[in-house]
Order: sequence, then structure tokens, then C-alpha cells
Amino acid sequence: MTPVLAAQNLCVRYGGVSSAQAHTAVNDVTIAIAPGMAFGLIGESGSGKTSLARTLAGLQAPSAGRILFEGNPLTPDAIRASAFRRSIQFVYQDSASALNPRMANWRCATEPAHLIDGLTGDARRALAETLFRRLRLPTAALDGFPHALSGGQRQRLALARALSTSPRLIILDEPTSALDATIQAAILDELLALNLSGVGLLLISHDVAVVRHLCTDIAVMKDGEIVETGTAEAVLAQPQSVYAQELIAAAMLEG
Amino acid sequence: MTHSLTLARPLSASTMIAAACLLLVTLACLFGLVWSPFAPDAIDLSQRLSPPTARHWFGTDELGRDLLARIAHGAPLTVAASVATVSACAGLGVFIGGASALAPRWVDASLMRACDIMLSIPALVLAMALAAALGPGLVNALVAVIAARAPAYVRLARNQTLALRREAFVEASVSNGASGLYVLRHHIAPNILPVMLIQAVSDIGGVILATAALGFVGLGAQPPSPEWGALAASGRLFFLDCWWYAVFPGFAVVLTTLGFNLLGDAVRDGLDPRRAARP
Repeated sequence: MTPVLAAQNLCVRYGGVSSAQAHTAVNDVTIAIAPGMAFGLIGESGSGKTSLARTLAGLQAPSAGRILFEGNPLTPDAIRASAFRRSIQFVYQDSASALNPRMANWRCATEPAHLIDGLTGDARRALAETLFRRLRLPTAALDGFPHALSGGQRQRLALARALSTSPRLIILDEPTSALDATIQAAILDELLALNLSGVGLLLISHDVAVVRHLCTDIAVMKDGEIVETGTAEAVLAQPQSVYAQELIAAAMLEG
Repeated sequence: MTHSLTLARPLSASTMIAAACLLLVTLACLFGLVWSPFAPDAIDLSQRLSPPTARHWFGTDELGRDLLARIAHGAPLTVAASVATVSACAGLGVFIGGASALAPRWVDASLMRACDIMLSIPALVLAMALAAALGPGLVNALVAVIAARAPAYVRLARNQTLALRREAFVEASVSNGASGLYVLRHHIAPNILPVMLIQAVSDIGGVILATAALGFVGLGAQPPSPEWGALAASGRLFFLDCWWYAVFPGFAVVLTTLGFNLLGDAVRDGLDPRRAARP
């Protein structure tokens, strides 16, 4: 089956005209995300996970290499096409800054559907109600504003927004790291339910436990490179690289 | 549910003082406008320069005109002129400041250096110079006050827009295909308008003061207009013998300025969504 999204020899560099000043965040990464897959990308802070995720989501341009969306190269025109926008949605780490404090929750939850599919009026409102029920947000909060929601509810709202276009893949950048443990578990259950209903996930996390809970496939990132990749069972049970062994051993000690 | 103006907390002391000041001025002016038997320009030479009496509460001027009636008729003029002035400043600020933030860097830099130059001159001095160049008159005085005060609004709107452009919700919206106009209307404007409104309300008092100051030095409204600055300026000539003539218009300016300044604080508290209570 054609992967929804694939990266081939992808590089992301920042700053500096000369190569000495430039910082390479992502170096020669090749991954493929099949439809419906729950793919986990783990690694410590600064390993290039977020840069990779943002580049895959079309939020920033790669420095080298290419991205394939449903088998076709992702050109700037393809990023702007509604097919890509509808299919790939991004969820930010910090839901407080990802939600406009002066946009009503129901409008916020349906903004992508409004922008991409032109959904307005009663149909938009109905979609908001459906999404609120699906993500177990109180419908009383439809007309409220994000500041009145708890952290967990805000992240549910951000998820609702990502789901509003019925995407094939949601890219989540540390979606639970700002939440406390019980709320985190509830959001992860929500994500698991979404995945079981057929929505693909690309989960970025520094937390091995989070990825283990959710993902079928894992890639381990260090210093901008993928040092290990495979099914979750294989990577977690028998990590091959030294770095992955250390990362997983450290998580075992905590867990 | 409205989030903005619900009373989450009891009114603060400063809000009460603001309300009291504005209520006092409003009541006095209503009395002068509605119940007072005197027209603001009715000359009665037998009553010239009368101190406050049961008949003329605030006394009379050198032509025997009732001061309460004149102050009351000057109030709508003074307040409407100030509100129009801050509205023009806010409008110019959002338009020029927003455009500056979204424009190419050299346009932004040129506009901001122009603002720096204007902000480096004290606003009242700049307004006086402009009003003197334009010639005396209320409209010219207001144009001068707008020109002197607008740069602060431009700077505010520009900085707010720049900060908002970097927010994740703007990026999310743009990545989903939002146009510049959509972002401006749904993400930028709703978030900077409260800030501009707070600035504008807090500034009404200052504008009343500036307009009155221009009127006082003869560059603003001209007699026989009952604009407060012009009234106080006329009263100054008789100040040693007839204290009431300059003092009551001055009181009107001070109370109204204080009231609007404190109202600005109250509006700021009321409009901050993060300060509102959770439902």
C-alpha cells in the first residue's frame, strides 16, 4: 500500500550562509508512514523530532531530500492544495498558544473544515457538536473560549480541530507533555481510539512510555538522524543501537 | 456566554471613583442642559461676574452668561471631540501599524523611524506647533492632537500584530489555507482591538486635557464656543477677583479626565479573557 507520507533523504538545516554556521537539525532521514499506522518518533530534546514533524506537515521547507504525499512529491503547490491540507493535520505541543483566545471553541474546532471545505452555518455548527461529542468535550463549552477550558480539554479541542477535515494522518508534536499524568493517560486513550477507527498517527515524544502505549512502529532519533526503526515490539524488546538501549533502559528504570 | 464584560469580581475602588466622577459631571451637565432656565449664550449684563448663588450655581461670566449652562453645553462638544480624536488615532494605529507589521522590512523600518521622531517630541509641544501652523480653531486643534498622538497607537498596533503573527494558531490557520485578510479579521483584529480600546479609553482624559490646553493658550476652540479650555482661558483673565469663572471649567476638565483614566483601567480588567472566571 502507498504510504500516506514518506520522507526520502530529508535534511533540515537552520541559519548561517556558510556551512560552518549552519545547524543541521534533520540529517538524511528516510521514513514511510502507511495508512492507519500509529508511528512513534522518540528521542531526546534537540534530536530534530519537531523539525522533522513540522517539515513533514508542510509547515517548513526541507533543505534537501524530498517528501512524498500518497506517492507524489510534495511540491509547494501540493502543500497548498486542499487534498494535502485535508489529509494531513498537525497538533501542537502547547494548546494554549495553538488556540486563538478570542475565537469561540466551536469555530476553533471547525476552522480547518471551514477554510478547506468551505463549511459554514448550521453544517459547521453540527460538525462542531459531533466533534465535541466524539472527543468527550462538554457541549456547554461550544460557545465558550479556550481560556475557560482545562489543559486536557484544550488539547482535546486541538484534536477536534485536527479531526474536523477527517484527515488520513494526524501529526502530533508532544501532545501530552504539558499535561499531568492522569490527563495524559486519558488523551492517549483518545488517540488510541482514533487510531483504531482508522486515523493514522505520527506521534512525536521524548517519553518511551507514551510511545509504547500507542504506537505499532517506532523510529528512534538522535542528533538529527534515525538510529533505529522497526515495529514497536522489536525496538522496545531488543534495541540494536547503543543509544536506543540507553533510552529504553532509562525509561524502564523510571517505569 | 459572553466572556468579556461579565462581572467576575466586585467592582474595584478605582472603578467606583471613575463611575462617581463621570456620574457627577454627567449629572451636572444634564442639569445644565435640561433643567437650567439659562441658555448658554443668553447675555444678562445686570448679572455680570456674579459669584455662585441660588440662581446661578456656578456664577456668571463677564457678560452675565450662566457658567453652569455654558459648561453643560460645552460637555458634549468636549467629550465628542475627544472620543472622535481617540477613535481616529486607534483607526490610524490599526491601519498603519497593522500594515507596517505585514509590509516588507524597509517599509516597516521607515514607518517606525518616522514614529520614533514624532514620539521623541513631547506630544503637547508637537500639538501646539502643529495647531499654531494650522491656525486657531477646534478642528485644527483636534487634527494637531491626532497627529501628535497617533504614533503611539501605530507603534502599539504594529508590535501587537508582530507578536500575534508568530502564534501557533496563526500558523495553523495559514497552513489550512487562510488568506491574509482572514487572518487579519479572525485572528489579529479580535486580539488587538481590546488593547487598542483600552489605550483609547485611557487616552480620552489626556485628549480632553490636551484640547483644553490648546484652547487655553488660544490655539483651540475660539470664544464664544463653550469648549472647556476656552472657558478656563477666559476665566483666567478674571481669576484674582472671580475664582469661580476659571475654577468650575477646570473642575469639569479634571473630573472628566480622572474619570476616563480610571475607566481605562476598568476596561482593561474587564476585557482580559485570562482574568475572567471559569464557568
